[in-house]
Amino acid sequence: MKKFVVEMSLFVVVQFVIGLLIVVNYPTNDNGYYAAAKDKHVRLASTASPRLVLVGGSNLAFGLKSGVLQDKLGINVVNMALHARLGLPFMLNEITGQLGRGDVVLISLEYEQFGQVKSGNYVMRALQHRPESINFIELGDMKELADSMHLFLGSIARKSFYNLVGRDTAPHKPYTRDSFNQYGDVVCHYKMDRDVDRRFEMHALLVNERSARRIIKQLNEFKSICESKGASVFFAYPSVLNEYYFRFKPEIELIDNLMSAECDIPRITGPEESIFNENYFYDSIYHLNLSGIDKRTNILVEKLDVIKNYELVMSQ
Amino acid sequence: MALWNACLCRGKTIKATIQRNSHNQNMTFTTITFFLFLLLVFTVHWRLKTRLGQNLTLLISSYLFYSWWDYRFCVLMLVSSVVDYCVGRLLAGSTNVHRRKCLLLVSIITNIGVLGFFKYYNFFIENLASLTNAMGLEVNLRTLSIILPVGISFYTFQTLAYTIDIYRNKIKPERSIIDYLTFISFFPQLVAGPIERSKNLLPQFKVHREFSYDQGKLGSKMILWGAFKKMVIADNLAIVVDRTYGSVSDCSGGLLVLATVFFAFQIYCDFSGYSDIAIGTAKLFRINLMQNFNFPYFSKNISEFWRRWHISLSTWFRDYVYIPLGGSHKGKFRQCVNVLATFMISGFWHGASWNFVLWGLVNGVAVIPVILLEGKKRRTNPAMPPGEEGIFPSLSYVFKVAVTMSIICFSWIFFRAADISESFAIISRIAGGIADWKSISIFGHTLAGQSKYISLCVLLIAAEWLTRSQNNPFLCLKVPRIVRLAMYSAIVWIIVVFGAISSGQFIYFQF
Repeated sequence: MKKFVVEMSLFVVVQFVIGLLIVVNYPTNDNGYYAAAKDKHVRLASTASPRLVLVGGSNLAFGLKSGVLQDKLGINVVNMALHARLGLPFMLNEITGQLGRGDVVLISLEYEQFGQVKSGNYVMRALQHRPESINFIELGDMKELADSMHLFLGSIARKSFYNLVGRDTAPHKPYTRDSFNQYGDVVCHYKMDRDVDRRFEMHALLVNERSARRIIKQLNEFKSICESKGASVFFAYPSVLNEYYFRFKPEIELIDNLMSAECDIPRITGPEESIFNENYFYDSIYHLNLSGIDKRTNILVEKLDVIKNYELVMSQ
Repeated sequence: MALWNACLCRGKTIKATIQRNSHNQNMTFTTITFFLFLLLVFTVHWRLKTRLGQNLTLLISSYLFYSWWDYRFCVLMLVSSVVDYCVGRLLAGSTNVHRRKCLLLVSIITNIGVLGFFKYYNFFIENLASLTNAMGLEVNLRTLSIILPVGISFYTFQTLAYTIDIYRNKIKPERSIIDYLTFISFFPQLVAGPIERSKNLLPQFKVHREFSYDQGKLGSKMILWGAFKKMVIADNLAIVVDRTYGSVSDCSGGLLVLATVFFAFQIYCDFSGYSDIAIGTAKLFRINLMQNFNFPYFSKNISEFWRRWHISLSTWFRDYVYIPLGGSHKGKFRQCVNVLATFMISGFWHGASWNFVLWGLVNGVAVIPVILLEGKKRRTNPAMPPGEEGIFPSLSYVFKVAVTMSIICFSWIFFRAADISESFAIISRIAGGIADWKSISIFGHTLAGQSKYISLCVLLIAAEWLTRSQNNPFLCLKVPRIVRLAMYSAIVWIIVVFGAISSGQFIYFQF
């Protein structure tokens, strides 16, 4: 027993040393996509209420012009959206502590978020650039974080190894921190062409009643918090490729039906209003190009303007 | 690459896995959480000097391991185990034939009932609804949102075999409930086998275990080789397979052929990798689990393949389905019917979907000619390494292996496709590709484009062929100790750098 334990311990120590030697070569780069969270949090903290805070995955980061919304609606805009895989609780916790009276929160979740797709690996990438975001992780999600630790360490080792052998490990635009503008929108791809020969990848939409209800419950809880802070909250469906919508129409209808029946947050757009053809997309079924961004921004301006006028009338 | 698509690719194993499991992230064998858990259990287990203490440690840790998925699953396993424990005790105390039959029935109904509800309820309801609709009847049947408890098919079969063996007077019932519960829930083999027989596993919990250096070393080597197969080969091949099978209409026949061959290697490395880790982990506690794979892809015919693939399940079906049906003792025709029935039930065991039944049927049909031709000839002993002696195989052997592999790959299409219609769509695209000469040149380009993944398959074939006399390539290393350690380190880092890309779900966890 002793011999086995000593040999195994020595082996583990050797691997640890090798690991350290590899990680020394880890290319530190503060221009990664997730590093944009730093700028987004600075803007959120420095912008006074009332504000329009955008919450969601990359459909929002690649999905509108916050500057236009700000000008047309006359309210400061902070786009907090980064990546769907960070998960709804993390995204909501990011802003909950900062909300003030008069704030308007607009949530737009990718349809996959109503399923079981979040991954601790992505949260850890966010923590790598902004360690203080650990406060946004719920206790119940710590288990998932631990179970995906190997993926994160694997990505660190992989990058370090590639750096060691001279392979390019720098992040590429538009997936960099400097691809975002001051509001938190990705703008760098406006002039980048789409590879028209490459079809958009479409994976199965794995959603069921149970998983969708879990998300709706979280949304309802968030609405109560917003009300207690004097903020209002709305939901908008993501703009999505028409082909995807028709392929997964039953699943999307299931989500919409449950949202109609059980979600307390008013929805400003329906799923069908958010279907665009492929000419409006950049590199995925959720990421819009400039034409798509203009189109979606106009839709949102119109919808939010109606709400703003209604609320003004109500307050008088 | 699009951010969203990229993350979906990385996180995915096969479609159904995510659909049927409640969480796609868990303490599977390839996670750091499992490594830490194993370290803790290993330490506590060997610190304890009594058999009861050791078994209690394994029992508690097994239930903890299972509750990591969902604590509610533990209740189900406990109920199933306790029912069979009681049935076993009552069976031993009874000589009344009618009473014994009733007791066995209680065990079968409980186990198959639980399995049937969780795994097959929606399948039956959906098919019943289709049938009644086709007959013009309006029946309001509701499907339920049911989570399939991970590993339920495996432990149900293990516990069922226990009561059947007692009923057949092959074994004596276990008196200690602690030992019995440990036997059912033993964590290395709980979620995907090997499906152990009480005759092999239970006696190992009845003796005080002393640590064995050789077993520990062997176990560690098996874990390392299993992790390599799973993380480096299976998970990398899964990227191509998932992408291709996820967009069948966009893929050429050639790419579909290649993806199907890749899937054959993926599922082998995934499941045999899992089995190696399970067997290796058990060895760390000085428990010997049965061998589950013995180089199945080197089989000369399909019948031999099934004696080398998922051995614990194949022998289960042989002993508890095929032989009770009459086996080969009631004439050739009846034997063929029994073979077909057994394979179809085995297919249905894999998943509540018609494509799994068809997969079983295809294999059954392929086995029948072999049975008829084999007659009373001596079969290849599945415990022996496959193939002939020497490095280079004969041409006739290579031909037979290639034919067997082709049939197996054909059957994997039904296993991997989302449903029957997709299976036939794939087959028709492949057939169209073969008939068209232009497609063959495209296939050449496809091969060149996938050279990285082809290399992985070739590497595996070479490693397994050259070391087939042992069950683990590391056991054949006849080099100085320092070189050996350097090689193990290299394997560890190859796994970390090139293998840590998926959440660690194993394909067979869904069954």
